[in-house]
Amino acid sequence: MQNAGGSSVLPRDGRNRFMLSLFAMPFFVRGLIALCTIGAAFPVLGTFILNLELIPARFAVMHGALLGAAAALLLGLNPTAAAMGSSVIAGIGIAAVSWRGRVSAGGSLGLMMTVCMGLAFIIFYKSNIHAIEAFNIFWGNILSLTPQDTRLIALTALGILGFLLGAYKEIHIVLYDRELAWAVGVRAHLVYAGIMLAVCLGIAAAMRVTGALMVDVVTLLPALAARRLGKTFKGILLWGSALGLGMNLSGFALSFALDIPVSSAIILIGAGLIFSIYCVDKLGKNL
Amino acid sequence: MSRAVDLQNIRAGYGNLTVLNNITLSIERGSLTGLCGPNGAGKSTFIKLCLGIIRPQAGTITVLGGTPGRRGFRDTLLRIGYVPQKTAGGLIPATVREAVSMGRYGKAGLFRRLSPRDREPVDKALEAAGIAGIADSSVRELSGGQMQRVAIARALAMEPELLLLDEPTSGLDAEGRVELLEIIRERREYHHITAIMVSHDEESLAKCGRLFRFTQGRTEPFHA
Repeated sequence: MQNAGGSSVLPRDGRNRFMLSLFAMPFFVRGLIALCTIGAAFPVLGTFILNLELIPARFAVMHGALLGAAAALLLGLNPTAAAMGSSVIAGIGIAAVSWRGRVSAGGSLGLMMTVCMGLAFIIFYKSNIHAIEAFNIFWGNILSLTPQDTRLIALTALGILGFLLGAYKEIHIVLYDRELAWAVGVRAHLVYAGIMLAVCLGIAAAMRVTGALMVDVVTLLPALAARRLGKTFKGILLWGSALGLGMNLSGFALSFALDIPVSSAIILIGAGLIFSIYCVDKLGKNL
Repeated sequence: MSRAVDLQNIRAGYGNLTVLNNITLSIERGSLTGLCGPNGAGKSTFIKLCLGIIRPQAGTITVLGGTPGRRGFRDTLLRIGYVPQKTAGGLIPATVREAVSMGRYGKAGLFRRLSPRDREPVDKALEAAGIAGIADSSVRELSGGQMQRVAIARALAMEPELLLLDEPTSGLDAEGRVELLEIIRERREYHHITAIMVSHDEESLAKCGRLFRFTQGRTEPFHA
């Protein structure tokens, strides 16, 4: 990658030609499609997670997805599809508990996380899984996406956006006040289940791109920044998508330039963005 | 006169904590009933029981002919306007108009946008609650009294047959309290709604046809 993006190796013309030639490479295009769809759609999940206080729950789902992906590698299945299945199973259990508002306090989530992690490590240790495959699950690798991975990611992203557009008003009131949503006759349980399903599928789909431990980079970081910028619910969602897309693409470019993992590069850009927004916000209030 | 709410030998609470114990209580249609009593006596629990937010541990409850918590009660919920003590809504922004429109979300149905038929009662409710002038403001910028008006407007926007008001006058100034009682009087007179109001405010309770005092998980008729 150093050769690919490093300015010290290729002259400017050569570098431009190389950058253009990247777009002819299927693995690069697949990575770009994944980053664009995730960037536009997954900050919505961050908004769900932040407003329904699903921070501990999403961490447990991440561990569930990790176990599913590890088991898939052992069995020779597609890790993304398996991670999506296992995270949905984890999510069903969590949703049943979290509807009653007990997730934050529950030690059961901690137990679930450690058990999932423990089992995943046993699978990695005892099986002949290639180290790079295991590494890709933990840290992600945008350039190793298969066509099937890309399709799953794009479909998940479209599904999330479709759910948001279709059930916009119901999602708004459930995030606003769940008890109120119930009282006005909204099928709040159903909407909440849909939100949990979207979060579970999204976390698992993003895992191949960002790694199991850094899924927050495409969900929470843009949502956090958007929360400061958006004055309305629609504004928060639009800012989240715009920032997510911008962060992903600039992070991708930065990863080439500095030869660092894509997810780490997106984190650097996202953290810098949040810090800048915070500073500008503070400065604006003090002036 | 038929009954809007009927509780028979209800026991209810949260987990192992019993808040209401063997309550039997009937509220007639078209009446204005006040519920009073000390904090933690079960007044809000009674409201949540009526909405099916919590389920009774024992006994039977009927609200507008439906049984809270049972299949099909959602249709009954669409006929009940609820003014909660507090609305969460701190993190997600909404304009006043959006917050009031939420009262129509259940009626509009899943995956459907609000129709002009839904917008008309929202406009009327904004006017009635005296917040039409701030319809485009964010609810984050409102005072406690204005938030209370939003909650009242949302309940009115539902065009309810039954109004459940949990401390509706908290945060309202004297003028706001008078206006609220006038709204309830007008709705009862012209729309024949039933209203149940939890309150500590003696002035508001004095307007109620019937009063029940909640104490130590039980109820008793009470005269202000």
